[in-house]
Amino acid sequence: MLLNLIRYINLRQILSKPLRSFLLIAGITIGVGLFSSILLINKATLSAFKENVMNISGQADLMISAGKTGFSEEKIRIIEEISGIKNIVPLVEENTRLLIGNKSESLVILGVDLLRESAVRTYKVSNQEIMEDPLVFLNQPNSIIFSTILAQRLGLSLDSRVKIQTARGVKELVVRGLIEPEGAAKAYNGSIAIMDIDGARMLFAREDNIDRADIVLREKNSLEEIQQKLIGVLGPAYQVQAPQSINTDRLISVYQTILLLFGSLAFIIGLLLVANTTHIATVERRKEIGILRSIGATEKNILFIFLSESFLIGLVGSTLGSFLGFILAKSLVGQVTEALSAQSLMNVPVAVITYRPSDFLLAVFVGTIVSSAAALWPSYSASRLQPIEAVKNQVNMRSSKMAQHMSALMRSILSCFSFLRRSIVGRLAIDNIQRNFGRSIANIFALQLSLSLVITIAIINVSFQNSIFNWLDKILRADIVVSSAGALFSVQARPIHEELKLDLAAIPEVKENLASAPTAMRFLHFKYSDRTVAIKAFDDPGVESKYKMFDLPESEAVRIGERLFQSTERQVVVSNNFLSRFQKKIGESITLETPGGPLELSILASVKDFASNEGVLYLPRDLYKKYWNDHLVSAFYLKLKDSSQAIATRQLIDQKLGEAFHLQVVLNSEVKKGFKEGINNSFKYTKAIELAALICAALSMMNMMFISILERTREIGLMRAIGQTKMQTFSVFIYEAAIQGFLGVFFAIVTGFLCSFLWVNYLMSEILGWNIDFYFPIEIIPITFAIGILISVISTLVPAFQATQLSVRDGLSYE
Amino acid sequence: MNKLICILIFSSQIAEAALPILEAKGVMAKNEQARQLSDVKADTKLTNIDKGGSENVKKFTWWRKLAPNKVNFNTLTRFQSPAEIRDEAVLFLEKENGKSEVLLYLPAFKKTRRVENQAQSQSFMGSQFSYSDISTPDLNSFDYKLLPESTCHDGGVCYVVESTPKTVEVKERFGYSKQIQQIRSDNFMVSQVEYFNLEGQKLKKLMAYENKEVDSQNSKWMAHRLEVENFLNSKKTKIEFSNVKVNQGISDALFAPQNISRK
Repeated sequence: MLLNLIRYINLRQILSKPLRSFLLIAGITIGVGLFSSILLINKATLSAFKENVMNISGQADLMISAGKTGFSEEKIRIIEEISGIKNIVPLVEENTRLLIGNKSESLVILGVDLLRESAVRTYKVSNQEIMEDPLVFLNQPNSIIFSTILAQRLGLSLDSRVKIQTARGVKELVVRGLIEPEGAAKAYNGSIAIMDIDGARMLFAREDNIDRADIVLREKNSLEEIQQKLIGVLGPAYQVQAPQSINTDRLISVYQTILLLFGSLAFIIGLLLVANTTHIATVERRKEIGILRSIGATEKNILFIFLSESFLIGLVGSTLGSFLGFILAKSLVGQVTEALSAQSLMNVPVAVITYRPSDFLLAVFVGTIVSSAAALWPSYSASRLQPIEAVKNQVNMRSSKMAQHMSALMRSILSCFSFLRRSIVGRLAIDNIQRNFGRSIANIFALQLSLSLVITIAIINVSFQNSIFNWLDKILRADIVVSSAGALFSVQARPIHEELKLDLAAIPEVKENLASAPTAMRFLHFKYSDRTVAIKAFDDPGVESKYKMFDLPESEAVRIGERLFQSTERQVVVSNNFLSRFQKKIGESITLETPGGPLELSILASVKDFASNEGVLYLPRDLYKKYWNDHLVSAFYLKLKDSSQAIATRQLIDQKLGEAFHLQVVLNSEVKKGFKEGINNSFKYTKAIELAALICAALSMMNMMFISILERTREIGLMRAIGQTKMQTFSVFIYEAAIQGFLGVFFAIVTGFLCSFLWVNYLMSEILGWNIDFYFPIEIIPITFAIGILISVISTLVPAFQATQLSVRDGLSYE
Repeated sequence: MNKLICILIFSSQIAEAALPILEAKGVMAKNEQARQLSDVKADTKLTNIDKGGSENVKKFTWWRKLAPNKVNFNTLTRFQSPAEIRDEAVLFLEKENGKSEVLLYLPAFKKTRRVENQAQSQSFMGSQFSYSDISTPDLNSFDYKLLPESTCHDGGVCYVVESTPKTVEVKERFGYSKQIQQIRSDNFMVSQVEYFNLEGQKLKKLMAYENKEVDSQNSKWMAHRLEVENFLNSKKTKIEFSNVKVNQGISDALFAPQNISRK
């Protein structure tokens, strides 16, 4: 009997209200779609990362690394002494740009020792030899091997010439080998090329450093023992890991978690839609519930009927949502990868989205179960109705105190709209909202939730921008910044050899304009206490610069600058978030485990700096070079005698060195503009989530309005009978929507403000380590009101029009 | 290459019609004895010929000296042309256990690089020879089988010996599953070698030409031209020796790794 009831009642209900069912399914589809697309993207990105590591690691049992600058190849001699090691193969990995005409594209270059390489990695070649002529290949620093797939795409063959950006400027390389895109050659989606290690080190000014040593063991079961020996011999500056145990960088995990969090909000809005609709359905079908109870249906039967209805709707919505998730994931993966690359400062490979049956089933299962769970409370309430109450269709107003308070609050808020009561339409709209308190609250809440998400993201974005902008205003006093082409914001401009400093100063016209010698700065990330901090190693800019790179009062900056650069003591200036993150105080010592050995430094001062959420360390570059054996420079800062000469000087540098070094020579204002764009790009991927949340809210609103029309069919008929025009009927709904939109925006601004305030002032610094200032962009208020009211009104247009089409006779005869 | 060159340097007398009965290992031992020349220096021309017949020529000077153990050799190859490889040098230091240390000097980087064991089974600098072809094999690392004698490609009668690596490690280092050598019965020099890859396919064939007696006092011979053909990629390599000088008293210092960069 129960199954018959379910079949009859559920299907009848779903099919008899096709538009409502459609909207409900659409809401669940979007919610589940967005959520599962984020899951798919996250999973694919992580797996692409892992696959990259495994492809490049080849047969290696262990991999030794020591941060971004690598370590001296001399260490290999020490490693060789450890028994149980069969082979050690060095590797240098460089991210660079391949220059094709006026365009450029990303290229990862693996510098490998081709005379040892076969112990770890093998390359499949079409013509038997990886190098056409090894004697020529190895002795020529301009030799490069491409994967056939990349070569075909770029129209390259053996002996073709290509230009790439190196630390010593733009260099022309000769294709002296082609390999099939297998193993290491298929990493980074095939955008990979291979050079001999010495050639790569020469072009990228890596001195005698290597990024990694790959180790093959004699006995696989001695892995842990040899790993411990290596850690003991090399010291804490070195990471000794098995390829399969390498986790993706924590930065990626953080941003993926945020992405998932935002995606979950869209899902929650979809679920609110389910809860709300089920609630309305239970109210609407009171009489039916009463009859069913009277003929013997138990509370459990009623509960089951409503839950199974939500289950069916959830099943259909989740099934469609799962497919939508796949489509969304495929179209969004590129954007997400770009944003992740920019934020994590890593070359995140663009993942290929795979859609397995398990992904489909998981999305359907979770979507259906959660949709059913969302309907649990309204279904339970319906099942608790007494038959007599239900048959009489009496609404039991046993409201909780909380609901009564909310109702009173709503009434007082609505009193603000009393001016609308002057018109009959306005009065009817306000009365409707008051009378259908639950439904109106649901509408307002859905709108509030989605808009507060938009507002929170906007405020965080603006706070980031303004904080960084104000800070840059104080510390960036150079008129011109010179670096290799690339995004300065994400420090993706590849470093250049320090010898460019001499070239810059050697241009006579530039020299005349300079107030002081160009200041070189090396920026890189470095592991400290299991976290990734940033290092800024500066040349001493001299007292005349007033050491404005430190965000401190002028006299204090000069005092600190002189002590840091001119004292023989080993000292460091740290960022404020470094102190709080590592619980350190000024005057205390820290020890950096550098590739050149432990470096103990005394903390001299702390300053504001946004270069890293984990903390920033300022070092004199001479000291840095000594311990990291790194002569590369991330940017050169030029201060001119006369700032008005900046554009002319920039042109000169561009003419003389721009093309040869593939430089970007940017003015102070352009650096700031670049940072602004960079921050906006970091928030780009949240736009889709914001849009989905707004669509869910609009669907919820439309659904509620349809329900409202059904509920008020008789009332509409009556009003029309006593002379209400179609236009007035239409206007009542539009007024109602506008008021609800207004209230949704009002509450969204309050909650958005509170959420963003909490995020910016507490959570951002506590969880992520960003100490940014809170800025509330006042212009957000009118914009949000416009968006919120517009969404409400637009989503009500169709239901309102449908209400006008109702004839007086149909309305009056409606039960 | 060096091994082959060495094997072919010396020869004894031309065999008579009926060959003395020898065991396979005995033939190889005589072959090893036959190439124990004190030292040799030669101007060399290496020609790589691709499938289409186009040639790539490299010229180098070649020094070789018997190591103190009187079994293995140290060999230095220094390139003169073409310009891209001028002054590149390959130092080949054979060890008793069959493993060799191979060092490559790259003048563009002023740096010496070591060629790992795994790479030694691969092509020697783009030629059809591998590093293992040019080293002296450790007699005890192989199993030998005497096959029916045959006529040498350049006339005369040859012993035919099949050599198979004893262990997987030797096999990997050697790079072949077996080789079938024709050893001249008159001077115990190699006349022809067929190489079989790890999958058992016939990979390449080496032919020795222009055998000349370079040390008449000790009856040592040297093949002045070697040709190898690869059946899988249809490429060939030819080595020609000229201005050959033997027993000149080459200094051991020439083969010291730290001196590899000295011209």
